[in-house]
Parts: sequence; C-alpha cells; structure tokens
Amino acid sequence: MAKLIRQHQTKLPIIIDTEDGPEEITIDLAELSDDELAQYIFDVPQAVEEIVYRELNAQLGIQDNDNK
Amino acid sequence: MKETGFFDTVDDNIIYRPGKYTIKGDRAQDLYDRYRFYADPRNGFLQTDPDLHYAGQRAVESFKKSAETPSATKEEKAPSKRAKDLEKEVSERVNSASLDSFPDGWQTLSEEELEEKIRDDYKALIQTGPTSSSPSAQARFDRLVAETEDGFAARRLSEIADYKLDSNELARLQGREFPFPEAEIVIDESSPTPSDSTPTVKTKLNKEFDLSVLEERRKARQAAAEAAAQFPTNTASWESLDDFIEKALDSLGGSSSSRLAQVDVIAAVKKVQDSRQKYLSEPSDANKNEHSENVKNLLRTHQSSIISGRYIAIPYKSDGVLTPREIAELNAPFQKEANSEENLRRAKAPTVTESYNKAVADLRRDTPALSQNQLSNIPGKWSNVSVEDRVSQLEQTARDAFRNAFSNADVNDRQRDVIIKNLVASNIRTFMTSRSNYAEIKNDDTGDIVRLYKAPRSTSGGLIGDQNDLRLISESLDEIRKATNLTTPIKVSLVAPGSKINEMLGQTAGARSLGFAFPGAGTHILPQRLLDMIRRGNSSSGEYNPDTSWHSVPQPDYETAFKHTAIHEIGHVLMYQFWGRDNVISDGKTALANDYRTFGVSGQKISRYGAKNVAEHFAEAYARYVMTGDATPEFRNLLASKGLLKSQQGEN
Repeated sequence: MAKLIRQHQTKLPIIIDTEDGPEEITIDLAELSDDELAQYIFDVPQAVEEIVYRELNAQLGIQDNDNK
Repeated sequence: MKETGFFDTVDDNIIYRPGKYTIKGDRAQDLYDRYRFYADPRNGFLQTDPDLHYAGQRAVESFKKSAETPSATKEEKAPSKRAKDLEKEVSERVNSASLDSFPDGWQTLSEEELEEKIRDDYKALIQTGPTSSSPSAQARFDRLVAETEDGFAARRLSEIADYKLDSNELARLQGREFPFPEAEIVIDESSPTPSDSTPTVKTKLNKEFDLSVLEERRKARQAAAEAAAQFPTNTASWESLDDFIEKALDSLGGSSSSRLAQVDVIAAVKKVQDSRQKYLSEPSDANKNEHSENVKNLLRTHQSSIISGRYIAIPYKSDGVLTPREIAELNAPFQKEANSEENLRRAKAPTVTESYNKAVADLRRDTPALSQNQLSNIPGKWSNVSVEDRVSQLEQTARDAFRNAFSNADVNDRQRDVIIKNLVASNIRTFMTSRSNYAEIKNDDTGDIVRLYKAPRSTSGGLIGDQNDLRLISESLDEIRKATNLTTPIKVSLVAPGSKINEMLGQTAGARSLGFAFPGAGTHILPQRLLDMIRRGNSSSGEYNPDTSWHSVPQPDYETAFKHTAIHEIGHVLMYQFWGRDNVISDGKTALANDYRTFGVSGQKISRYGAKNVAEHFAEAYARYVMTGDATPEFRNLLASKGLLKSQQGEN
C-alpha cells in the first residue's frame, strides 16, 4: 500500500508585537488539536491540508512518514 | 355493472379519479381476477402485484433481447440454459403466486417461443386496441398500460416504441399514462388523435391536454436505450455505478467513524474500477472472477462501513463484465440488509448532504452580522460577508487539498464532493464548538476584509471592536491605498486577549500581544490591549511612551496607536506576501534581508522597535511611509522593486 506523505508545510510562522518588543514563534499545525486547527481553516490552506491528511492517514493506518 | 370491491363502476370508458381507477364491471372483474390490479389511494395510479409484475418484466426483457439480436428460428435452435431458467422462473412465480399471468400453456414454452407469443400478442393488441374482444389480449394491454404508471414508464414506453406504434397508437397508450391524476379524465377513443399533430386527450370538460411532454420523454428513453445498446463502448450503464458510489458515500452518514469509512469504500471502488478495466482490456475467466470478487468486496465494505448512516443496495444492472443476473446474485445478500429493520431505523439518520446543509445553516445562525446602520457609519462601502461565501472558499480549499493528498484514488468529482462536504461539515462543527466565530465585513471597492471576533465570554454575542475601531481600520486601509500601490485585498481581525486564536500564541506572547500576523490571515489587532496601554501611560505620566524613538511614529493617543499597530502588522503581511514563497508558508525574512542589502536599506535607523530585526524594520518603515509619507530613497527603491510605490499605481 502506498504511503501517505505530508505534502504540505506544517510550520506556521507568527510575528507577535507587544509593548516590550517583537516575538516570533512557529506553530506546528501537525501538533495542534482538531479544535485548534479549526481556528485556521478559513485562512490557512495548509490547515485544511493537515485536516485532509489526518482523515486519510487515520483511515489508512499508514505509518507517519512525513517531511516535517 | 358489477361491483368489484376495488373499483367503482362506470360507463364504457376508463376513468381516472383521485385515488381511484375505475373500470366497467366484467372487464374490471377480469382484470382483478387475473392480475390483482388494485388502486393506490396515494396517487390514484393503478398498481399490479409485484410478483406478477416481475414475471412480466422478465418476459419483455427476453423479447427485447431477441429483437436486438436476430436469432435463428426455433426449429434450428435448441432451448438454451437461460431459456430453461426463464421458463422455470416464470413457472415458479406463476405457481407460487397462484396467478395466471400468462395464457394457459405459455408457462411451458421455451424462451424463444415465449418471445414470439408475446410479440404476436402485442401486435394483436396494437391492431385491435383496448376494445379487443380477446380477454387475454385485452388484459395484457391494460396491464402494459398500468405498468407505465407504477415506476416502469421508461422501460415500457421504450418497448412500446420497439413495436413500431404509429402516433395514434402511441397516443392511445400515452393517454392512459395521464399526468393529471387530480382531474377526472375520459379517454376519448372514438376520436383518435391525428397522426400529424401533438397527441392530445379530451376530458369530460372538453379540455385538451398536451401530451408533448410524454412524447419527449418517450424519445429520451428511446435515445437512452439506443445508447445503452452500444455498451460496453458507451459508459451509460457503468455511470450508474458511479451513481451508486456517490449515494453509498453519502449514505455513510456524518459521524466521524463514517467519515473515515468513506476512504475504505473509495479504496474498494478503485479496485472495482481497475478490475473492470483489466477485464475489458483482457477478457478472461480469471479477470472476470477477480472483478466479481471486487464488486462483492465493495458491497461488503460499504455494508460494514455503515454506522450511523443507511445502507443502500447497488442499483446498476450491468458493468460490461458481469451480467445482470450475476450482479443481482452478488447484490442479493446485501439487499436483505437494505430491507432490515436495523437499516430502516438507521434510515432516519441524516445523510452526508443533510448533515452538511444543517452545519451550514447552524453556522449561519451562529454567525453575527453588522446592521445596515453600523455598516453605513464606516467610511467606504462595506457589506457583510455571507456564510455561504466563507463555506464556499473552505470547500474549494478542501477540494484542492484532497486532490493533492489522494490523487491516486481515481475518485471522480461527484464522489469527491460528497467526501468534501462531509469534511467541511465536520470542521464547521469543530469550529463552532471552539466558540471562535466572528462577523466579517467586506469593502466592496477594494475587497478588504475586517473580521470582528465574538467576545470570548460574552453571552449576548458581543463583538470585539466598536464603531470607532471600525472607523480607524477603514481610515488605515484608505491611507495604505493612497500611499501604496497595493491591489490585493487585506484582512484585518479584531480579537480579544481571551480569544482562542490569541491564546494559542502561548502564555508568554499571548499575554502581552498588541497585534500579530501570520501568512494567510492578515493582521490581528487587540483593541483592548491598545486602550489599556494608552490609559496606563496617561495615568502615570500624562503621555503614553514619551520615548518617541521607540516607534517610527509617536503614539500619543489611542487613534495613532491603533492605526500604527494596524499598518505595522499589515507591513508584516506584505513581507509574507511579497518576499515569501508562493504556496509555501514562509515568513520571507531571508529574501527581505537580501533585498535590504541590495537596495542599501540595511543599517538605516527607523526606530528602536525597528532595530530588533529586518521584519520589524520593514513594518516600522512602512508604517511611517504610509502615515507620514516619509521614507528614504533606499526604502522607496525597495518598495519600487515590488511595484508597491504610489507612483506605480496602474502598473500592476
């Protein structure tokens, strides 16, 4: 059976500006819960790709072989 | 006149009435005795006993087959196994139902003989019409007419056409399949319809009904029958399997488990499609057996995948590999499931489509909107973004994502749509559960979007941002449009410290954020934090942040702080957009830094905040450029390299 590979990038860089100065973080979409992932579904195509990936991967039972 | 118990008594003509089918005495009794006709009170159509119906159907199919393939005479040809099977089947059905579906002696005829009898009988029917004195011919004529009305119209009218009826004869038959059951109709057989005009039937009220619709349907059926006759080069029959697959996926229901099960069904479908193609390329018993196993596996997989949905039986008759009988045999065990009590109970469960429609409707109800008064008070032309637009965009993204991730599945668009709907519905539910919904308004001229998140703990549906904030956003966007050659829409979101999307930044950053930005979603502003910051400054020193070197534009008040923050964050978005890589999440910082060196921007002082890194420097310099028009020649050259200068308007 063909292996399902994450074709999408999962790292989401975020720039945060505060009173004290800027901060930069990276959120890994692959590590978000479904609930958290839903926050990005209307904006970040990779979030939707992650959802599709999870659907297919969970059903096919394929060992994770992603490129994250 | 004789009362039958089922039929009213009438005069010499056949009369349709709501919920009734009336036939004169002896003739009605004959029909009832021989064929168990009964009236269906729901639609006023005549019904026949299902068993008898089936036997008749088989006989007509046999006849049709012989008409398509000229066969040898009965003297030259021994009865085939299929003929014997048919004979046995007809005999068994007739005997078991105790119905005299065929004249005496017909049950023992071979298939060819039976076909010939039927052909002659129909010819006699056509020649004599419904006033024939032959009881059996008359009965079968009426039965043929009746069957056009209980779900077999397509087959029957097509078959009638095969007997080369002229338009008068056809009109006479079609008149029985009258599409106006609510009207009291008398078939006026004394005045046959002229053959050179559209068939009509007169009523007691002398009203003429146009039967051209029936004529068109007949032609369409004939065309479909001709197309099907070209199988397997024509795919008409095979497409019915696609219909089944689509319905099968839809029937799995909207639960998470069922959603996942769709992939199982898709995989089984793929095998069926592959094995069919294999057989068509290389017909052999082995390939046929493999295909048969794959069809069986598809049926089994679908059945076992049913959790909250409903099972449907496979409806197609032929796939170019298996005969209708072979398909029927494969389907039979699963047909029992379709009729089971459990399945009937599950039939109340929503299909994927129903779940999807409900999810969209729920999202529509959950989504706040600005009043016309609020919209009209914002500078510019603004309108609410519809939920349908949001969902449509999400669907398109999901469709693309599914195609990319599962391209090998060979799933057609219709099947994919069912899966996408399921996926979208599921995620709409998750999204709503997270209580992160928002109102969205759109500038009709620029396409800019402003999103107002729901207040996290509000029970009254309050939104983050007030009318003043909306004014400030609109003015900021307007200043950007006037100062910069930017043609793409911008998205600005107003969020609260307790909004989930802010809390996801983490305790450290999320607790102190004034604004943030990431690729795809534009900029986010926290008005409450900005207001608190300004108030703190005022309470302690009477002026917020007297260190004017902190930002590129001094922020003495809320309005300036708000606008600067908005334009600063949009500066980050421009970096993602113009220096990031297409279709890949990238902050673009490396490319921007390279261009800074190329155009000599690096090293220029803009503010202490901008000195933190190249991204902040760009955002600070961009905010100053938009708000004051002040920019170094090097920074202008940098903007010009991306076509962003005001003087470049119209070039993009």
